[in-house]
Amino acid sequence: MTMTAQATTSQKRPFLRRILQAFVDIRELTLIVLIAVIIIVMANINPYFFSFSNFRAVAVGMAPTAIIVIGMAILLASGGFDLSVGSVMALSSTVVAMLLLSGMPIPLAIFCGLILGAVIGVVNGVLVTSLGINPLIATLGTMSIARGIALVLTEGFSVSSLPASFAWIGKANVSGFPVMVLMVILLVIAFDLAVRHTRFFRQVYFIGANEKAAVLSGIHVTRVRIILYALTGVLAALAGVFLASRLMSGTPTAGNGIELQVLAAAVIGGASLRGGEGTILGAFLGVVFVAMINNTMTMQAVSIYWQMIVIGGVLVSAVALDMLIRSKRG
Amino acid sequence: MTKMKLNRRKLLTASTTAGLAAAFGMPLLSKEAMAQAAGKEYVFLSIVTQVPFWVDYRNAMKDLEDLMGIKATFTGPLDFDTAAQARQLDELIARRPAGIMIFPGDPATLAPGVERAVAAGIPVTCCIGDIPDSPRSTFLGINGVQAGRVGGEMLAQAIGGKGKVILGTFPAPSTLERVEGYKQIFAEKYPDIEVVDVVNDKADPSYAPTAYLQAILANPDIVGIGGTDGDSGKGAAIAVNEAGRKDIKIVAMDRNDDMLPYIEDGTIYGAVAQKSYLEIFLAFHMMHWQNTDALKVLPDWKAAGINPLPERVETGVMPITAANVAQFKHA
Repeated sequence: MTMTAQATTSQKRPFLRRILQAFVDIRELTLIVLIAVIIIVMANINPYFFSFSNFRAVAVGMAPTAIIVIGMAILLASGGFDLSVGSVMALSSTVVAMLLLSGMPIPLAIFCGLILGAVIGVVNGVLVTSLGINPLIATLGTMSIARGIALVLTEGFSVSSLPASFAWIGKANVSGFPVMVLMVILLVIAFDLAVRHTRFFRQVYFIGANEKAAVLSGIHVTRVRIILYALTGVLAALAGVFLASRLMSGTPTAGNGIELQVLAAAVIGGASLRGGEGTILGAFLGVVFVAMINNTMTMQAVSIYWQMIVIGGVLVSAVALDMLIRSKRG
Repeated sequence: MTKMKLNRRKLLTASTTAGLAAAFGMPLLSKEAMAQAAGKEYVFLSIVTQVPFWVDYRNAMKDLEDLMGIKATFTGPLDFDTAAQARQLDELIARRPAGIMIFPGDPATLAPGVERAVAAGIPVTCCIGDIPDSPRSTFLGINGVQAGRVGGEMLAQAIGGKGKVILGTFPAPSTLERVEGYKQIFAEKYPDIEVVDVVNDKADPSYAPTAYLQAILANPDIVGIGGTDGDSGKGAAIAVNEAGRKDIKIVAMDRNDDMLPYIEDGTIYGAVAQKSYLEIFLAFHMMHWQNTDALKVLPDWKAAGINPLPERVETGVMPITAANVAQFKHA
């Protein structure tokens, strides 16, 4: 190598390093690259992967998780979390289906379902803030109660024979794009912008980073936290409405374990269980990343046992890598 | 209408009892036997109790309460929590019911509890899954492999004996046996059928459609789907509709009410249902016979140290098709 070439390389290195550092620092960029790598590799090894219908299937399948992760990401940023989201989704889908069967108009039934989610969220918020119960215990309790109510109402049966027009949300398309997916994208954009640019949501990060300092700076922490739990409940209930519309039935057993999938996706997307970090876009990309991994394994007919190992491995690797980067940054 | 249904159910119950009694050489419950059974508690300890699959067991339990004068209790963890089921078995033993029927989540975990129950004088029977290394009296249920073979035969008929298929399941012993049954019958009788993928639908109604849709897109040349758990049929039906692939033939498992309309409209070719009602109906009678020493297999079978009941009772399966699906809807 000549002197000139060596000089050129050394001049380039800081720039490349800066680019690389930016990718490592900005979780969204890291995830976009990883998702792109999956798509490029899979498109080359599986002829059925790179198709509109496959991406459509992935998007429709992950829609309920993507809606719930919005609320969970904000809650995690505030230092809280909610294990009841899967049960609220199931209860909402069941109650909305029952109301529709009773003859209630669709918009009103959906509204009632969302209110139900808000009420459970407020209960969670009050338990955590006013009564000081650990979020793990409080939301574990409401998770059990919400699922129990859904089962008591239905004895485990799905509530089907819903009015055909209700299928619009879950099955209709606009220019080939599923309405459900478009709504999810709109929600992600709206909440991402709100979290980045509105005063209320900026408070969330102060609370998550240092609650005492937030109180001293005049933030009404209790009120903010209750609102966040209510928001998470509403979004979980909305996911239940979407699900009921797609399945055309209210399903009391739906979403078992979805709370852990949502938490995992949010953490992969850059949220921290200690609070104060994470973005809506990052959490959404975390859901997309996990959905792409699942899709890859389905496409490649990976053994169902190995699928569990791979998903667990991805989660542990993502969190371990995150910890490593943070510790190096000091 | 309700009266008619009740009468029909009672008639069915009475005729089934008569048939069983004839089959086992036993008389119908006499007044004396009714008095012996009256007020006794028989328990069905299950697992994943939140799913609608148990409706036939619960219907049978209601009928048995009327018929035998017993108290029939259904219990068990909502999820696949095998440790909780083992704990509940120990709690039940402390309560001293007249008999316990168990659907074991994990046979090894429950075997010590079954030993304790039998040592305490409580007869134990198993259904759906067995606890072979235990002193349980008998096992009643389907042969999982055989159920898979019946489903496989049905699917083979639907697709003309050739083509690529996928199977749907979730990783539990009873469902994996059915997957094995499908593969067995294809290998033996239909070598032109190829199983190209086994999909994990997680037995989750909210996830199953996505799992099948992605599997269909990954294998666009498939002609059939064989489901081995209660949520596979409806999940696959939604998936073929969303993929615009109603040409794919589906065979489902069990008789969930929200799946049956898809058989009526032709989306699902047929299903394989267990005789759940029969399992518990037989089991509770058998435990009652043990308790009342009604079985005169030997003058004293306890002293002889033998089990008077059959080791296994295979209750078989019921194929559901568009022709008979109306009979399988629950009231």
